[in-house]
Amino acid sequence: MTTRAVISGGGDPDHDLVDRVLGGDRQAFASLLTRHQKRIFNFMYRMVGERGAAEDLTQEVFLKVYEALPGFRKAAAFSTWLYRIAHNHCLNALKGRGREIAVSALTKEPANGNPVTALVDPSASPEERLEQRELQAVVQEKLAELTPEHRAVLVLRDIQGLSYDEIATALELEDGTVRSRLHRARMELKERLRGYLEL
Amino acid sequence: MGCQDVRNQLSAYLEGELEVAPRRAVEDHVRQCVRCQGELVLLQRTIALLRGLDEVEVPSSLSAAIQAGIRPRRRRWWREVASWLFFPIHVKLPIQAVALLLVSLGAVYLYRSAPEFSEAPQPPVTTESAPRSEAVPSTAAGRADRLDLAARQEAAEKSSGQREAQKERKVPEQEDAAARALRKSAPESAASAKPAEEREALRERDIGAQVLRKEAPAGATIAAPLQDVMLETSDPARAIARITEIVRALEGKVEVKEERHLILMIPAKAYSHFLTALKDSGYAVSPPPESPPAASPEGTVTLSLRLTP
Repeated sequence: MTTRAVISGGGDPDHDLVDRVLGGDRQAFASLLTRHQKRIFNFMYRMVGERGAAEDLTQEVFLKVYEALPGFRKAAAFSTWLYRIAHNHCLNALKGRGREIAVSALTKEPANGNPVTALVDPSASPEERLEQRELQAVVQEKLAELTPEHRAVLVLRDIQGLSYDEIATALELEDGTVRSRLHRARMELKERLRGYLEL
Repeated sequence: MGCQDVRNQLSAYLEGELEVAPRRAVEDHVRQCVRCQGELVLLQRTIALLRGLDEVEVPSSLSAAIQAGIRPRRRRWWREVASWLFFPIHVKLPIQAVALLLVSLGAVYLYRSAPEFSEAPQPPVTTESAPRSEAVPSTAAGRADRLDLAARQEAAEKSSGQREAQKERKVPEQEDAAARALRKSAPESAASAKPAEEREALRERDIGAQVLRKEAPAGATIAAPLQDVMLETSDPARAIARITEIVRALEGKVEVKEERHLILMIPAKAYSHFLTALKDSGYAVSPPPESPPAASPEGTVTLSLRLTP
């Protein structure tokens, strides 16, 4: 199952943690990490397709967030602001590092070592489980073939479960743009998966 | 609704975002169009595959690595000060503005109500007058200075008196520093200003030959040089009376300085008559006076006459 992101707006409990971090409370920052690192790490992993790179990027994002915290205005949820930083950092990293990450990581990640095993039904037969693992690897591979912009909306909406408003805020897009981009990304991924989806 | 229109709506349809009419239109078309129905199913499976992807586990070292990478948050000292002074700015700034206004008004009120603030600063009388009072000049210029000094001191004391009258001093024993210092440095001035003036006048009139000759600058107070002469007599009182009689007859003046010392001021044109009358009276002066002695611009000859037994 996919864990859906729960992002709150007003009365964001993260705001109190942010205040404490700004007051020098490092434990509060640890709490923020605990609450959000999994979400950001998964976003990064789906974006770059490699654990090591995702780990590096996640670490960089949180360090950047820590430095940028005094500028956080609390107009939006902390998690949305966090996603915006993560998204921008990821796009810059992909541009800076070239397609090295996207291509090599997404194509060389061994299926057996891939932790994405949620689609594997434990009650399924060995053949079926192998089939499911392979299918997940294919999904990840085809996802990497999309543009980062299309990949991002798919990850945020269909994998991480953000609302259109949250995605619009995180990606700094109009709401209508999010919807149309999401539709095009889904249709494109569907075309790439067509051979695996048809029964 | 054509196939392309329907396919453009498939994502929204699966999200449940379409209104009733468009939704029915899509459903009606899909029921009749096998290809669009197939596209809908494929899109459904694609989304299901994505949503079925679970989260990957976070490396256990990630949190520690992040926390090790952050530096202790140290707010810069000026941020601390600014924060303490101004933040929250919408609260502190108005308070500070009101406080500043009140302090300003208070200062203006205090300035206007307290005379010691509104008075002009006292001129440094003491420092200027002290050196002057040390030397007592005997000349007319010195006298003018001393009169000026007395006037200043009088003004200073008057000012001090006014202040004391105006305000009940918290420390009345604290006299005005200027007046006190003035009195200390010029003991003969202040209250004794008038006697000092009189003494000075007397001093000017004291034209004893020795003193004047030694101390007075040439041509300063005595316009004409003195002629020191001696007159031998066994009866000084009679001699003085006779000399006075002669001098007054010649429209001159006689001053008796001491018992045997006279100052005679004789019109120069009558000087020879004076000598003749003196000789006729049986008196002779020595040394014999110059003929005629130097006269003042007013035409007066001054003699310092001492009577010897």
